[in-house]
Amino acid sequence: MPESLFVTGGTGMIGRDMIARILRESDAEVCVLIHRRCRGASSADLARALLGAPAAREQDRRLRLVAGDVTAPDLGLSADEYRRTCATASGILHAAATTRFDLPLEEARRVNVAGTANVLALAKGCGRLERFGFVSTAYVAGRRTGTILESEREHGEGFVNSYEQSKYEAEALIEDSLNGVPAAVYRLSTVLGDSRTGRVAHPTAPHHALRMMHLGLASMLPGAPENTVDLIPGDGAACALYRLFTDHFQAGQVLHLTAPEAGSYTLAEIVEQSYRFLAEADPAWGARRYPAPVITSPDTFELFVRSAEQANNPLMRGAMKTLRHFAHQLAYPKRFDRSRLLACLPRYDEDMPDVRSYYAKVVASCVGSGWRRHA
Amino acid sequence: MPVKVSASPARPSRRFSDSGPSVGITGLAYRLPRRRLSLEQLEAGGSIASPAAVLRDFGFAHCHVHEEDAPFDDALIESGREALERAALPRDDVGLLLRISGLAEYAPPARPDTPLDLFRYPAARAHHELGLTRARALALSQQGCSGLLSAIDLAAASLRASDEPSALCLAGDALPRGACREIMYNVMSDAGAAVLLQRGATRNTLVSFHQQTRSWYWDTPAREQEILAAYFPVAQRVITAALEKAGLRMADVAWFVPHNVSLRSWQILARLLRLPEEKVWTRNIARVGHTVSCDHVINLTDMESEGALRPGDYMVLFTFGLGASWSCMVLRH
Repeated sequence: MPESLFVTGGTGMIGRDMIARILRESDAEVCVLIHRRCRGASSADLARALLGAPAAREQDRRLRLVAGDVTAPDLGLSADEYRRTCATASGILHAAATTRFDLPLEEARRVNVAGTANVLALAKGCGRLERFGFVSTAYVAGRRTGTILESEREHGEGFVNSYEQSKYEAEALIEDSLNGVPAAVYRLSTVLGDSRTGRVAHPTAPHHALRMMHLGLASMLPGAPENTVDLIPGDGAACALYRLFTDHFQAGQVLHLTAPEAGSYTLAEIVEQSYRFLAEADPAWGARRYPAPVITSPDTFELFVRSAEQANNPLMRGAMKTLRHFAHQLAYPKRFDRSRLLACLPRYDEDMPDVRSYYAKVVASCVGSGWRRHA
Repeated sequence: MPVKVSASPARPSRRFSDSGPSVGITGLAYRLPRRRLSLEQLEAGGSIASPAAVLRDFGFAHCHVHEEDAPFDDALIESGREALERAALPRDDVGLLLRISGLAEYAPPARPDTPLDLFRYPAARAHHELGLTRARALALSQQGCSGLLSAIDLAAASLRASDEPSALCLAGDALPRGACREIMYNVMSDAGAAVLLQRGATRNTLVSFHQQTRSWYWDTPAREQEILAAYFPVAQRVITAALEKAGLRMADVAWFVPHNVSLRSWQILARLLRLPEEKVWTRNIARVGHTVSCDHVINLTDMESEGALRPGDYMVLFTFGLGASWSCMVLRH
């Protein structure tokens, strides 16, 4: 009997690549929970979007969409659909999340914590369930600095934004469910875009920061010039995640899918390269000669943000708000230990594209699309 | 290996000791209009855009407004007279008179009675009123608050390249009557000031000057937000460059002589530069507020009269002019 997978977040940065891989590389049947507001979409539409047109008929046939909402009881599914999923799902990949960094904590919790609780409730009702994959973030480490082990979660250092905290709390729910749910946690680094095309399916904080630079509104960033900025490409992340979930799954596993050793820009480098690649992608922009932001202490950055807020300047306040919710993470240098990951995927570092090889494409894609979300 | 984003464009940058005889500032004077308004008065009169409480938190308290019937340029001429007298300099020794305005242009009469009304020059009037005999008189404008430092740099270069002993710079602006007194979160005063430069002087000698003009920002109303964002990164780089030209480290500097923009912005800039805030002479921000082109003269004059300066002290004069130019001059007292 072929495997039957239930996937949330299937239209997000990682979920869409994962579904494409599952359809291409296995004979599994995939049921994707799409948000109610996308109710009109068909599986053929999604298959075409993921696999290119025309999707193979057989792959199309194995893909099924159900409309729902992770924040709703029973995921917003009909009783029949819920029962059917419980009866058939042998694997669940929970990738749905809000990745906005600027949400109030309660709002982030509603999607990322309560949503995870709802998916776990479904998992507990799945009689055939063999694997439950939870897509998390390496930044559940919050304001910690230094080496972060895959085995560690609990800490008291606090968080830079509500996204980090809500994912941290969601991981706690996963831990608490391990007796009844065979779950693994995949902590991804910041996903930048596709390494082959530069395509950004879903612009997130780093892309918004890049946009502030493009608008000439980036004044300063907190951190130290030599701090590294951990970034991974969406396709590389999905490839590793697929292999971990299908070939190396182990309940209780927590893995860091972060940048390879020496595969990261420093903060100073990424600022410099951002301005270089923006100028290449948009020569008229280059002629404006916007200055690159100053890299400064978190205190100074915060004083500047507070002043912009006090001045009630809407544009500057908005720009700084955009930067504020993720930029402070740059001031907490950390190294993500990947011993367990490398034990599963010894070639991970060779297979994961170095940011230096694709950052220009991502910048060009952002400029080309006007930072719009790709369908 | 990271690649540089873009080559640095050519920009005025000098270390003066390598380029001829020393030039120093031997006379300073300024005049503020008598009418002084508090933030509350400005707020009540609708003359500021931000709440008075915010501007107070940013370090402002008062501003001076020219409302007298007498021509505003009288303030500059009186300052020039005082500067010449302080230096006890014969009028014949002045070879150059520069009249500096930070505004886009002198407003011509709205309805000139004759075309000749368009040719009534304040620079020539000052020349006459001060009794100058040999000086060339001309005006410089369109550099906003950077204008005076640029004029000092140009005057110094002129003195070094000639045998003229001195040059007089007269700077000042009055905003139009009824104008908003807040520009980009700064409270603006009217003022006139004079700077006398002498070749061979040993006091307040010019050590280095560095300026960056970024003309993308020329359309100030359209680029206001981008200018606010660019201010700190470029300020940090221009000050660092001026110090490098002077062969100085931050620790060698006795005083930062600011343009009197908000105290808050100086607190931020000081942190970016790792500069102790007490090295920035900020007391005139509350007393006077920001003037278009006279802040450095006002501050230097007060610093001298209060005995804050010791011989040999290095001073860093920084300013930003809409338009946009970031300027930094290093002086040795």
